[in-house]
Amino acid sequence: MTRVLLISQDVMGKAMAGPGIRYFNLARVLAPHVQLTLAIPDTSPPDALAGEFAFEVVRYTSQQWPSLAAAAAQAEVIIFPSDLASEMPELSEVPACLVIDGYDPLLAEWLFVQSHEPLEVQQAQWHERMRLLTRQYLVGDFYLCASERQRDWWLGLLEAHGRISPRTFRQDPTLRSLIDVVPFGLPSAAPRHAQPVIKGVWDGIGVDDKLVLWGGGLWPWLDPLTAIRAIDQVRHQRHKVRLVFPGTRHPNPILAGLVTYTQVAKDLAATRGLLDRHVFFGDWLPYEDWPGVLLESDVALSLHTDTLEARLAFRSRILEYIWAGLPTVATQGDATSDRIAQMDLGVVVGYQDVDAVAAAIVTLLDEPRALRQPQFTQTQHALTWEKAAAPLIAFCQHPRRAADRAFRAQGERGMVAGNPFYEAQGQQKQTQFAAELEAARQETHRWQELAQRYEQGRFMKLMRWVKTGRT
Amino acid sequence: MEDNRVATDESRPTLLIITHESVGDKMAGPSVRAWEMAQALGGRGLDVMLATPFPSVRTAPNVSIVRYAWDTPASLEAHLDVADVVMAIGPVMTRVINAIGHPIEKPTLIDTYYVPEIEQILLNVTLNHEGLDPTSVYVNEMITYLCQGDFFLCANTRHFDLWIGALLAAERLNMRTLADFTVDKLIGLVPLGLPATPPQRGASNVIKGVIPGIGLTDKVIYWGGGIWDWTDPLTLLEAMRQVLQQRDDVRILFGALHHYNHTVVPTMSMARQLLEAIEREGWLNTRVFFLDWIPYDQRSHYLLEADIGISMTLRTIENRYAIRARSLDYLWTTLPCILTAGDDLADVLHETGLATLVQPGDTSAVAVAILRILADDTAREALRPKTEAAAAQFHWPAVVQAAFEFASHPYRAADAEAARARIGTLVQSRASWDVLLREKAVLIQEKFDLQAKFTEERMHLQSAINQLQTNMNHLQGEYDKVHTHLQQVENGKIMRAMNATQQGLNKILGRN
Repeated sequence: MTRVLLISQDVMGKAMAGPGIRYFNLARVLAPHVQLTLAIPDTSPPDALAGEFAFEVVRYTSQQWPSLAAAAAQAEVIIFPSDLASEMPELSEVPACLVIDGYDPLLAEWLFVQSHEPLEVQQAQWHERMRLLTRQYLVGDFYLCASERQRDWWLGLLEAHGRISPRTFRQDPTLRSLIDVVPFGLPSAAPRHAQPVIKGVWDGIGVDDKLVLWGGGLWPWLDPLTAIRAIDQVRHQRHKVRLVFPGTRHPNPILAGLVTYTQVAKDLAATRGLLDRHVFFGDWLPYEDWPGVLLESDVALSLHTDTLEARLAFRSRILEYIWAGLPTVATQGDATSDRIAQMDLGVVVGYQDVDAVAAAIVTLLDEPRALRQPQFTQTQHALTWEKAAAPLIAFCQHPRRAADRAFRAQGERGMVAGNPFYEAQGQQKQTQFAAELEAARQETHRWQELAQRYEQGRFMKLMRWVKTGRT
Repeated sequence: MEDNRVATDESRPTLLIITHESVGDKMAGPSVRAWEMAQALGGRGLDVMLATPFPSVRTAPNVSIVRYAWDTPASLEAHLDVADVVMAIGPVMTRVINAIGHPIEKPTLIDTYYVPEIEQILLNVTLNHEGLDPTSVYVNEMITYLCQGDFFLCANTRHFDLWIGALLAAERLNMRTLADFTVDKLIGLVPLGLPATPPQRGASNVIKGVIPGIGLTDKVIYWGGGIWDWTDPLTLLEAMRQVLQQRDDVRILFGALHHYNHTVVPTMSMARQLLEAIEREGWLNTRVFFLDWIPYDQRSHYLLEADIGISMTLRTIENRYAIRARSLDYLWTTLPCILTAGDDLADVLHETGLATLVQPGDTSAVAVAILRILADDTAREALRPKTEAAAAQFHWPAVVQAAFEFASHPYRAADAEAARARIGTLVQSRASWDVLLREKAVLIQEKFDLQAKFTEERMHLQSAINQLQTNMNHLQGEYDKVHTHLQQVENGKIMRAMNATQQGLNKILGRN
């Protein structure tokens, strides 16, 4: 069996965010097919993954290559999130086939993270980040993304880095073996409700109340304010409606510093007299309590503003709503809303449309839950982790280098020519090209000489024959 | 903050559209798009200049057609000087920049309505250029036009996603251009369009009863456009074999064998394979016919007379991003059609009920679809309300909206200065690569020639050596014979000498 190293950048444990959940499940479905090692950050709680798993777990220190080197040296295939390529450049020096997981574009995250800096500083930081990112486009043997939209975006990135070439095209003219879609899946077992988590437990939320769930964080590209304003309308019609933000703190310390809507949202709720009456904020919930929250909820919300983030986002929370058969109100424009519209799993609304969100919440609260059950069942069957990871499992069973990998190893000349991030290496590039030209010249001269020698050789042979003939 | 607005509202901006193709009777995809966009934008009040390196026979009230020559950069500069906005497809824009040797300072629209690099790779794989990997060159070309553009046009949402990936790679998505977290000021949708006017029948037939071998009552399957290497006419031929077992009145009519201008695109091997297959069947001009690129303005005559439209492609990456003009032609003329699934126009046509979609290479599905469509004479009329509604969203005057908005209020992108500043290096390295590449190509050719000569010489010498070896073997044999004989002779001598000695001794010893 192929020796595979799967590296999670996100912490694993009882409280997991989207990335952690993805890597835990990829490990789960890969394990039966390969000899798997899962590497997790040593900032994960000590009891993380303490149960019985069919894979080995190792811990590593973020940005510290020696902590991963031994595991990487053993592996035939290494799967890791795209950003790790620049964080640990040594990854691309190992002989293993590299699978780069680009399911999270992280574009908006970076834009929002730095938006408080002066523009010149931002531009310089952005340029430096782009330069660092370049490595991930060059070193992968196989890329993963989470949707066909993301695949188009990735192909644009790869194309601009010379990865769509006669070499990769000959290997597979559909380029599916260069980049394929591995979305998120659902757990194979249905969610189970062990104990009440919110209804009848949280102060101010009764067992008969109607729970509207905001399942994710309050990231600046999302739109929790429209949710709060909509609840302000709905509460007049449905007195028992409660909007809950169960998790407001990201468990990954790296992203914990991101400026979020948390305070603004709390202030808005407080100003309108909704805080702890119709709008509730919690801390991050343990992963094991999450199924209970989903089952207790009556409607879920997935609202965002009109930014580039939405175009490429894959919102893993939505899959959990589908898992729990939870009708959803979603803003148009992302892959999530496409699926909700296509499968009729809820209501799709326009950007920042408070009235539409309020109306949709009322509609979904009033309709019988059984109404959309057939669509949910059908969608659930199509969205297992086993199915989602099929291209990755296939690759790990028959790993192979990208056809242009050897080519890239020759100083990465052909792949980066013309790319602005390599202008610094322009001089070196010219030297390489000149060297290659010189090699071609020498090769030609070698042939010329050979031909000449042969001419002489023929003469010598003739002479020998004449001699031999006479002897 | 610098003011990026260039043209003022009171003056009518002059838009210069540059095409590398001829704007004539017969036009291929890029020149059709340039021509139609020029007309549509001219019709909406812009001053439009359409520049082509070829003599032109075409005129329109709203467009002035001007000429330039690639080897006379001044001819390009002259047009650029009077323009307020410049537009071209990506590779042409790069070629203009390389010709004039510097970036264009005017606000620039880059029409990225198709993915030129994918076509280049496909062409390269087909032609199998030994030793000349085009990847470096196309990355350089691509980054050049991505740095030049102030606004980009794409033809559908798939392209949108691909181009924002490419724009990120060229660092055109940055803190300045993404200031409002959207790319609305950098990229817009302009699909490939179709005429707003209904298609016209010809005064008389152009196919049936006209082309020798196609009768008045025959059924015609029409392949609009050329045979490219990513197209799959062989699946259609295979299906035809099955169809002919059911009915023998079916004819296939190809719009053209290859691009009408040999200097622009060379004939590719799929065309050769097709010709060979037709020859094997003996179908040329009995079952299968070729037109020689019908004049653009007369294509409706052919489309309206045909019974089925067809477009078959192989399973490649081209399929996902293709924008097929022939599909739009079928929609425009409500021509029931069979299309290989994969591109998004195929889905649009399928939703109207006009198109039957098949998977690449599914011969039987094609044959079944042909027979089904031919069995129903009334289908075409019944489809018309739906297809006309779908066609309306592709009318040229409507689809150019994003280009019109930019061209009527042109601006330089928020990062224009930094982006253009990168072009100098790209032009420079491109020029020196071109020199090096030419030299390398010559050397490679010389090496191949020598290798070939060497191989030939060696074979020649080898046969000479073999001959010599035979001769030597023969001589050796002769020598051996002589030698044996000599030995025998010598042996005889010795025997005689021995005998003589014996006799002498006997005498001396007196033994007798």
